[in-house]
Amino acid sequence: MENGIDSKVKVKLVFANDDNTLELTLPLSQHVKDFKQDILENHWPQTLPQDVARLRLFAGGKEIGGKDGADNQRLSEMKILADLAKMGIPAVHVQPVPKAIAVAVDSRKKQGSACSCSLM
Amino acid sequence: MVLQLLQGRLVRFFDGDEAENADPLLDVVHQYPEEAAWFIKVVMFFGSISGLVISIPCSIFLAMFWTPCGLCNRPLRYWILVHCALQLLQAPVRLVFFLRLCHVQRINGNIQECVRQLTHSSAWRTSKVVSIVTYGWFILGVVWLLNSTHCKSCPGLYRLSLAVIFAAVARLLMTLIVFYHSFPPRLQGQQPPKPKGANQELIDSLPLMVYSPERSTDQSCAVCLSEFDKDAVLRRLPCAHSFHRNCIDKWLRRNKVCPLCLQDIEVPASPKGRWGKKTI
Amino acid sequence: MALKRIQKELQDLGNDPPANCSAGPVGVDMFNWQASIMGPTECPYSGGVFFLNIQFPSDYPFKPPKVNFTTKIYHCNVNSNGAICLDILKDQWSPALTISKVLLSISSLLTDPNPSDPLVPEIAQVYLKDRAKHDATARDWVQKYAT
Repeated sequence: MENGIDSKVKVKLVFANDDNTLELTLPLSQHVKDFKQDILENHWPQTLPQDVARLRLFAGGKEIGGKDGADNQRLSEMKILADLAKMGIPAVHVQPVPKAIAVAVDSRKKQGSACSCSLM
Repeated sequence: MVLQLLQGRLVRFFDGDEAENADPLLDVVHQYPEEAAWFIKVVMFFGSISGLVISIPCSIFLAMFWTPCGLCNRPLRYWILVHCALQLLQAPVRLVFFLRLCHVQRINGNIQECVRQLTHSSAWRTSKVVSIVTYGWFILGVVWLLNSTHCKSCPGLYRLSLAVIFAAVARLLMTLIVFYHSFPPRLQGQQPPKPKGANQELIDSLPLMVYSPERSTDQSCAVCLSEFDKDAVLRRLPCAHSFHRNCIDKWLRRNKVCPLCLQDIEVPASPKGRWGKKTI
Repeated sequence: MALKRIQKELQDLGNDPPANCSAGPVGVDMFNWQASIMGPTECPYSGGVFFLNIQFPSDYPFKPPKVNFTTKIYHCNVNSNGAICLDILKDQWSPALTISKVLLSISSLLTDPNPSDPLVPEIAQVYLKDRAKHDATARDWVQKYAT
């Protein structure tokens, strides 16, 4: 993989529970959240459910981006991509989080914070 | 003409003859060829390299201080000289053994046959005799060192002799450590292998063949995941699956079933094999 | 031989990645991998992502890798330490199996648990007697730990 924030990386997107794969070339300077947005808006397969709250990305068994601001990182900061790119085109697995589950998880978090408020 | 004769003699020196007595090393190789090959390679390589490495500073020291060292009360200068000569004598045989084993492993050949040939050769027998002499000379060196007094004309001699002895002891310890590290505890206790695995006789009863793309149904080895090279030596199981000989032998010693269809190698092939029944 | 085989598997995973599983070395040690399995659809684990740790023995592939879940999961064949009760990881291991196939097997185990050979008998009992309750608890754990 090339050094420098202006370089690009070619990845193979593998959609969970689907036979679709897609090759994309991305700028390393791109933030993970923008990458996820791009997939949802421009490359999301019609064969998959469309009610997606957010995406989770995985490569080499590790999550790319994630919760608590991890999506603000740039692709260039993802060491796993660099390591996998040395051997070929890295496969990035895409897992959608359905809206129903995302809503349930968020409400669980709100309940949790409400509890601590009541203690104070 | 003389050169050809010498060359022929040299080749015969390293080639095995048909003597009946098998070296005990062969039993170990028989049971665990991969582990034994690794162990022998490590010991031979370090044996030859350490012999050379020790001989260089000793030769330099003796060349510089030969005469003054003669005034010491024990002939340690001769001891070092002979010790180094014995090490250098062993180096070529050890290196040849190491290189031949590397070659056999590279071409996926029969490690046991290679070890059998080498341990039956004149070179091996000569090396064994030289080893015994070296051990005897080593004991003599220890005795002389213990009885020698500090030599004013050649103060470095005592220290050098001590260093050479320590190096020899260190090599022996390293050999023991490598041995315990190479082999499973079963070998050290001489316990029989697990009953689920095949013995060497059963494994050897399975046919060998040379790979050819036209005749073979399998194009790659399911154990190492590599494609078969032309002229690779394969072993064919009763279920008709083939693998690299070294790969499948190592597996069958642990579990006598085909890696692909899990058929027991002692059961004759059935017309409808259990294709993919258990594998995913 | 183990290292060469592991490297080959990593290469094959890159060339032909399974749809629901991702795996790779944790760091520079090729014998220690992590993996992620995306919950299969049409099972209570759907929507969740489960992380696993994989430790290859030095005599791989002649001995099976040690695989365990690091994400908590409500499953009768996976205990609270993440240990997995799967025959191919024990006596039914074969060197023809690869990590890709092992992960696919574990994925199948999520879709079809095996309550007749449970690691957590209590969960197996719930699975057999009150399937709806089992699935609800499984979904609850997915939301808590695997999302």
